[in-house]
Amino acid sequence: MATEPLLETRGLVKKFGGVAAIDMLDFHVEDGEILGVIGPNGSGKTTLFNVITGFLSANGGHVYLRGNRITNLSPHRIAKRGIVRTFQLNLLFRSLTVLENIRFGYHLHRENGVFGAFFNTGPTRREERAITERAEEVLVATGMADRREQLAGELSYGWQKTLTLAIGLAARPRLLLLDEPLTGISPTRVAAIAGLITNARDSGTTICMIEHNVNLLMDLCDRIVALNFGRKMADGLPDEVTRDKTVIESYLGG
Amino acid sequence: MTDRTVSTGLWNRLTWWLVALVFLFFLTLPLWFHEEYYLHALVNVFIHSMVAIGLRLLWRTGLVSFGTAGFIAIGGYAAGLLSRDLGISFWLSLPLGGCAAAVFAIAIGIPTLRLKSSYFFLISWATGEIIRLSFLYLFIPVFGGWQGFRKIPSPDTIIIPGILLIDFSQKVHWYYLALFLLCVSVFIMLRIDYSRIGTTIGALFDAPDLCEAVGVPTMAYRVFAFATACFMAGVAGAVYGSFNTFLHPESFTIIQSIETVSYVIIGGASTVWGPILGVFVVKGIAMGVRGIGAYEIILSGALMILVMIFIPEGLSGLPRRIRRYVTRRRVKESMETQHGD
Repeated sequence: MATEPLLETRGLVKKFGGVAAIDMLDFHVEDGEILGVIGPNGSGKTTLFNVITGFLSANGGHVYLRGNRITNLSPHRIAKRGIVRTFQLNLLFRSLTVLENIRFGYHLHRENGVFGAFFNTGPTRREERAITERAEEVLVATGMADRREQLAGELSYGWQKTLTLAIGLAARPRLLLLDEPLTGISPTRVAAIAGLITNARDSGTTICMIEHNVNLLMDLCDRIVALNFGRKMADGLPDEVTRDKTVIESYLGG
Repeated sequence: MTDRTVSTGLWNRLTWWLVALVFLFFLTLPLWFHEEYYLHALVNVFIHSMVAIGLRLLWRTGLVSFGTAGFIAIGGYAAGLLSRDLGISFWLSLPLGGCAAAVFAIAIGIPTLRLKSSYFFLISWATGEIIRLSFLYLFIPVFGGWQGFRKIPSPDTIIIPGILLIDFSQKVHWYYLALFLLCVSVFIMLRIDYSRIGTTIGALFDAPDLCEAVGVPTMAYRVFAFATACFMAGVAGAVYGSFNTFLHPESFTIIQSIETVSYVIIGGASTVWGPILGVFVVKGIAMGVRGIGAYEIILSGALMILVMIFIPEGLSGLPRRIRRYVTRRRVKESMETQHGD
C-alpha cells in the first residue's frame, strides 16, 4: 500500500463569496517527507490548511488521510486521526505558562478519561507526571527551559512562534502542518528550529509547512509545492520548483 | 521567577486559611446567633452562592448565560412536582430537579453553544424568559400560573434516634442544609479547577481554535460547563422551592439572571471563592442598609460597573493587585536609592 499517500486532496474547492480561494486542487503529502508550500499572498496556502484540518468546510472535492475520507470533520476529530496544525498568528493559551501550553500537546495521548481527572485517581496522577516529564524534554529541545513558568502571552514574538511549534512537536502527530514556523524567528535561532523540524520528521512525523523563506526551504524540504490562485503552479524537487518559469514570474521575482 | 512561585504559594496558603476560618465561622454561627431573620437571609445567600459558582464555570469558557433564573425555576418546579404530586422523597427530587435543568441546558446548548458569545447571550436571555412565561401560562392546573406553585413539601425528617432530629421546622436546619449543599458544590468546582478539566476550560477561553487543533472537543466542554452550571441552578431552585414552600414565575425574571451574573463579575471568576464573595457583598449591603431591598438590582448594577472599571478581575483579585502595586513601588524605590548612591 505504499502507493497511497499519507494525505491527499482531490478536486478540492473552497470559495469565499464566489471567489475560489482553492480551485480544484489535487494535492498530496507523502509519508515521511518534509513538504514545503510556497506561493504569493492570497494564493490559498493557509486556506488549504484550514480546509484540511476542518476549520473551514470545503465547497467541493475531498480530503483523504491514508485513503480515508476526512473532509469536513470537526477539527478535533481530524486531530484525533493524526493531523495537528499550528497557526500563523501565534495562537497560544496566553494566560497559561509555557509548560502548560506544551502539556496541551499531549492531549491526544492521554489514556485516562475526565472521570479519572475529576477524582484525581492514581493512574491519572502518574499520567500527568509523565506528561510533565515529556513536556520538559520538549522545553529543553526547543531551548525554552528557562522560560517554563513564563506566561505565553508575555513571550516575545519569536519565542511565541517557537512555542506554537513546540506544542505541535509535543503532539507527535502523523502529519504536522506548520503555518510559517520560521517567520519572525531570530536568524541565530533559525538553524535550531529547522533542526527540530528535521528531528521530528526523523522520529516519524511527516511535515508540511508553509514558509516564505525559500532559501531555507531549499535545504530543509524534500519537495516543494507552489500555489497560485488556489491552483498548483509547480510541484517537485526544490531545485525544479525554484527554477520553474511561472514560479519565478509570479512569486520569486525575476 | 522563583520569587513569584514562592509568593504565590504563600498567597495560596493564606487564602486557604482564610477560607477555613470563614467556614468555621459559618459552621458555628447558629450556636451563638439565633436571629431568624439573618439565618433566613443566609440560607438565601448560600443558595445564590451555589448558582453563582455554577455560572462561573460557564463564564470561564468565555460565555455568559442570562437565563439562569429560568433554570433555577426548572429545578424548583421539577423537584416540587416530583415531591408534591408524585410523592417522591425530597432527597431524590433534589438531584432530579438539578438533572431536569441540566437536560434542558444540554438540549438548548448543543445547537446554540457553537454561536458567538453575543448570540449565546441573547439566546440564553430568551430561553430564561420562555421558561418563566411557560410556568406562567402553560399547564395552569399543574404549575398554578399566576397563583404560583403552592404547597411544596419540606424535606423528609432525618432521625438518628437519641442523637439527631432534623425535621426542617426550624431555620437552623435549613441553614445547615444550604451550607452543606454549598460545600458540596464548592468541592465539585475545586475538583474541576484543580484537574485538567479546569485547565482546559481556561484554555478554551484563551484559544478555542488551538484547543480543537490539539484534539480537545471544545463543544463537549462548553456543553459540560453549561449543563453543570444549570444543574447547580436546578438544585438551588429545588432547595429554594422547598424552603419557601412556594414558587412564583415572577421570582425568576431577567433581573434575577442579571443579578447572578453580577455576583460573578463583582466577586471575580478566577477562583471559586470570587462569586461567593460577590453574593456576600451584594446581599450583605442589601441586608445591612435598611430599606435598600427594592433597590438591590441598582446596587449590584452600580457595583458591577465600578468593579469592571477599577478591578476588572473582580473583588477577589484585589489583594493580588495591591501586592503587585507594593512590589512595583519597592522595586522603584530601591532603584531610586541605587541611583542616589
